[in-house]
Amino acid sequence: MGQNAPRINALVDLLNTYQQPRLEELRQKYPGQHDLLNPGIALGETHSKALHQVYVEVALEGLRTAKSRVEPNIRRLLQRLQSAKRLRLVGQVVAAVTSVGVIGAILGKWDSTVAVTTAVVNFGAVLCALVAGHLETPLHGGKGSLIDSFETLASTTAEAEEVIQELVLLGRGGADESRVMEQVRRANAIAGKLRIAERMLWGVPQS
Amino acid sequence: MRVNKRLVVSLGTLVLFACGTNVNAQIGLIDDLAKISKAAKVSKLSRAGRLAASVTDGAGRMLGRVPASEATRKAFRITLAVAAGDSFAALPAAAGRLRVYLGLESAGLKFIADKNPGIWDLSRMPETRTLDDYVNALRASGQQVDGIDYIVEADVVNHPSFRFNTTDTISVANYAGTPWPLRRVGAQKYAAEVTPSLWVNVSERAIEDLKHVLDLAFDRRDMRVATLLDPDADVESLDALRKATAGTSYENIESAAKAVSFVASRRGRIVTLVGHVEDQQFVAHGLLKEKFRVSIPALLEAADANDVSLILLGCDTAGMLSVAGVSGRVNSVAVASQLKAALNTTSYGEFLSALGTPDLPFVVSEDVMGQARLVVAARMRREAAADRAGVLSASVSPKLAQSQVQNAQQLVRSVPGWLDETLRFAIGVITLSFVGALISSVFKRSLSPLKTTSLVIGLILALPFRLLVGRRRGSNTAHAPGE
Repeated sequence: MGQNAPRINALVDLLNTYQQPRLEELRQKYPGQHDLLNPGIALGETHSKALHQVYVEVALEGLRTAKSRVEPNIRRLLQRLQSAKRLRLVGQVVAAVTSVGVIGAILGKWDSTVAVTTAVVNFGAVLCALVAGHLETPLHGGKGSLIDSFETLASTTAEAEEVIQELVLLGRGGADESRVMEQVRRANAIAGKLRIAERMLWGVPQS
Repeated sequence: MRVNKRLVVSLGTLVLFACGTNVNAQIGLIDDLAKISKAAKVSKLSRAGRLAASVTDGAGRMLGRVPASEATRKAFRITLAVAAGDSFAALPAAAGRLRVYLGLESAGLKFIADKNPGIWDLSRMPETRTLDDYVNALRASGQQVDGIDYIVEADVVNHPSFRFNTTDTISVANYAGTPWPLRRVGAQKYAAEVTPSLWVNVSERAIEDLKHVLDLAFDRRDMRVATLLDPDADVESLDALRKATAGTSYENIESAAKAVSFVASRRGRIVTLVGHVEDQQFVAHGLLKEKFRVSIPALLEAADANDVSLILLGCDTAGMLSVAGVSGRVNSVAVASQLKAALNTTSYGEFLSALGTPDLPFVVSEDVMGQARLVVAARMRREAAADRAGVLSASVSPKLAQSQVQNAQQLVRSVPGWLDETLRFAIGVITLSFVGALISSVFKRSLSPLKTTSLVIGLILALPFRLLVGRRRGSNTAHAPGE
């Protein structure tokens, strides 16, 4: 590997979160590669030819995990967007009705209890809009919106499948190492993007 | 006339306090200068006092806190034989190994072997009378010599005459106790192993600075931590480091220019940078391409120009010249855990030790500890009170120690914190009152609001004085009959 070895930190992090037993198996299979197979990055250059197979295996496992994460994430995303839409609609309807009630209570000199109750309900309706807004925005700060994360999730399956196919094919034919490593880089980027999308949906994992 | 006087006083006071913020800042500056000056003096005295207290025992032997070198031996009038004897007492003898103490005297390298207390000048001796000859002679006389345990003074380590074999061990002479084993860091540097996780670059100055710094109280408020990582590519590392630095000033830097300005703007602080290091540069890699890189020499230059103590946490940063950092390959999440432990320590000795591990020791350079200098014998002799137990040291306090002394208020502050805060608050209130009075005066087209404000504030300011005078008068009156 003439140039710096590719990073696989996002893939390892994904495995560490969802496939710990598999990651442990890899650690046992490659006992000298704890630097690579532990979460985090080496804070220096990595030059080694002996690690080729580790990279490929981590990339394949990581991509499979990434694919398996797409469905629950999309479900969560849809759930949040649907809840937000429903809440917003209910809130707006209730707010419209109760605002008329409040005006009526003031002008028609209704009983104060009725006026206060109407005002409280109106306040609740406004809160609904705020909660809906919260559901529509990412839980964890970062660039992009939930719609971006939807695009990321939608493309993850296709991209991951493509890279898996490439890696399997390259593995069969004894291909040029730089091409393999290029695919490992792509795999890590896919895992990285998925990780960002997940944080937008679920927030920062509390470990 | 009386009204005019009041008017002049009111306007004068108004002008003075209208610049309240500026005055406030000036007071802060003066306070800071006083603090620095006083802290430096106290630091010197405290350090000199500790030297004096620990430098001699009943028998007049040097005990601790002074690095072993030709200069210190001369300053404290200690002979090479005495220094060697102290070190031999601290380093246990091993079977089959010869202990040899090496020191410089009159620019010549001299040695003392524990089995023969004579001093041999290697540079002046005939070629046949070398240390090798001595060892050979010992072997010929039937004594078993498997190797030599050298104890060398700090100024000997880089001496061109000093050579050793692979079977030999080297320790750096240290009057404080057991000599520190010598380790190699990178291709060009040697370090003394203070603890398994804390090494110090070998130089007389670095060792002296370290000894002073180790005991100082550590306060995480002195610390500024920054990471040079990509927020999309290094999510797990940033999470770990963010958690590790909770309660400490922390930020992630996302451009080279910001990195340099971050270091340059933290005057008098300890700045810890964490990042991926390649070819003496911090490099931030994105998911698919490199985001930015910043040169470590540029960061060091910015730190040096602004009195910043820079600690670099990245792979093999200790191998670079003038850098305090880690020796070996480190992982970002492991660094976060070490940093967390370090930030929860109470002394600089513990802090620096916690930054390293026995596998990946943290190596301290003299630059991180400041430009402290040990005053050499010639200067010490000029001091009127030059005496073994006297106040001999007049060296500049290390940068790290100085900032620590200032910021953690470890020593003496010229103005206590509560008084400082109260004064600042009072000045702010007075300024606001006068501004309000001025506005009111303009609208009313009358000076009465200003006059009233001056009068009220004058009375309030004079109150403590009046109380004091009243109390004294009262006490004088009380004592009068007894006298």
